[in-house]
Amino acid sequence: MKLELQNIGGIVKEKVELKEGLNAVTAPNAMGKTSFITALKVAVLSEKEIKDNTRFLNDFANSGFVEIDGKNRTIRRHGNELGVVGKPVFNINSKSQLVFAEPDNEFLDDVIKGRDIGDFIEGFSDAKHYKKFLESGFYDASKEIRRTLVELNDKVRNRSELQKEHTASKKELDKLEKELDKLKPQKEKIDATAFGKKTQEKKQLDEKVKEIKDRMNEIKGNIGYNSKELPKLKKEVSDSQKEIDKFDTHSAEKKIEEYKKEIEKNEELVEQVRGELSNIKLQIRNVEGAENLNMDICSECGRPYDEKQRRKRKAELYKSQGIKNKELEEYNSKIKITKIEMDNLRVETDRILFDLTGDVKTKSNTITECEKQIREWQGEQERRSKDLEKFNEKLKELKKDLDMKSQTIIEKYDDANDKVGVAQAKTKQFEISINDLTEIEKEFELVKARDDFLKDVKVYAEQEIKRMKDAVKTLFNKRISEVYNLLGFKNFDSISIDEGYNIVVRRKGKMQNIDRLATSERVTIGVIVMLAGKEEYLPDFPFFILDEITTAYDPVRFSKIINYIKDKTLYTIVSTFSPSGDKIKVEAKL
Amino acid sequence: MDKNQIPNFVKACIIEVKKGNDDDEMVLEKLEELE
Repeated sequence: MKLELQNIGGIVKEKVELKEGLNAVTAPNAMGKTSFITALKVAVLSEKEIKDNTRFLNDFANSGFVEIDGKNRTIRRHGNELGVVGKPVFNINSKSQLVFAEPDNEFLDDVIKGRDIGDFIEGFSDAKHYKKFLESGFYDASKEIRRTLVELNDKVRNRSELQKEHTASKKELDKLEKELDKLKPQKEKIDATAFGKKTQEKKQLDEKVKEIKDRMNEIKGNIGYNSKELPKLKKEVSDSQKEIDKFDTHSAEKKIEEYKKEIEKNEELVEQVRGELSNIKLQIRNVEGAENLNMDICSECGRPYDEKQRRKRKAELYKSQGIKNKELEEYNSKIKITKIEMDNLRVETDRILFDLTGDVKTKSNTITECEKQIREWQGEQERRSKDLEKFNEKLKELKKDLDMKSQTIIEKYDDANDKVGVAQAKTKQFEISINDLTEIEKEFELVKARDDFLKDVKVYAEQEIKRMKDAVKTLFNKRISEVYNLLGFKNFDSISIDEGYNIVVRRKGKMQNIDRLATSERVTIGVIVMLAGKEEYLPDFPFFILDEITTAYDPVRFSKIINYIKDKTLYTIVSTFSPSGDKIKVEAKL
Repeated sequence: MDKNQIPNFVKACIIEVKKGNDDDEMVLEKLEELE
């Protein structure tokens, strides 16, 4: 088998030929051996397993590859991760722990140290998918359903209480209705008599009196409110009127005229200064033009003109220009200020003449209306008082005619009738609540069914996980014993994975955890467990890789193991350190 | 809800989880399909 590597770990470029059977890979330093094992990992690990291992790629390269008998797998640097091109040369389904016996192998490390290997056992079977399902969306959905269930439960748990109250209310209503029924014939009899009619009349009168009293109270409130508001309004009107009277419209108009004149005057001055300025500018241009042309005659008067005179003239002109600019600024500023003052006066005039006057008019109208309304209400109050007096008189007359017995029956009937009304409303309210509750209970039943179902799903999935793990454990146990016996070791009666997923040995009838054994024995057992797993799960994978560290503990014992692996696996690769030489060498012997 | 459906329900969910749909909405949808 031909292996070609480029930019893998510490190796820049290398070609290696592997022979069937034992291949002792020697390298001058630890990096070379590790890089060779890395190359095999690049060839077989999944993209996900390679992604974070940036050390797989040479530090000075952005891509590297491994080629085994022409099949290429390339890795490329993408930021802080590695990208992979090509499928694994051999598919080992994330079971590299069964074929790479090296210090980085966490499974081997856990076995050797006597730790729980349950998670690895889970990973070798479909149990890992079940576990992932239970730990992600299923967990969140169960939590959500439980929360809804608790919320609904709070609402439905007082059903029996509500039902009890409804029954009591219904019972009370029946009782009251029966009492009313008993009073009904006597009441009807009274209603049919002249006295009864008078009673009806009294009832109507009572209602009318009540109506009048209510209306009178309303009127009283209105009058009270308006009487309180009126003085406020009157004061506002009087204040506004005082302000209007105080304001001298004539002087304001006169002042505005004055402002206008002032603005016009200043505008004329601005025009004048602008004319002067443009004349000065023209003169400056002439003087500067003459200067540029080196003329020695004044362009204005035609007299000879020396340099000194020209400079003096230029300075005078610039000075005049400055003075005029300042004047222009002053006049413009005066115009601006006068305009602002004129606008303010106009706004004030408008406020007094239009806003305030209008406001006084509106408020005066309101006052008139209000006073009129109060007078009307007072009239109504008087009329209603007279009506009330009249009705009260009538009532007095009627009461004279009522005999005590009939009056008591009517009162009793009215009272019973009121009570029935109240009890009916109460019972109805309970019925509505019970009806609403029925809907909530339906929802509760549905959510409860879901909750129960998911609870059973959890139990089922956990049982499946256990069953699958146990199946893997049983397979491992069968294989471990087989491999151990085939190797011809006699130290233990048996080696197995126990219920807690720890490796235990039986020696002279006693069970012992692996962590009580010597290192060489523990490493031997570790490799045996790996071999058992490989034979079960990766029987066709052509490599088994042993790091020097694993083989160094007990060379005699490991030569037995290597001989065994040689018969079971096409290429047994043992990495060893070589103090001499500058490149990787492959030999068929250790 | 039919408890006999539990194995099928779990299998259907696991297929989705393998595809990367491992959120609670997927589980609730599968649950509704059963009802």
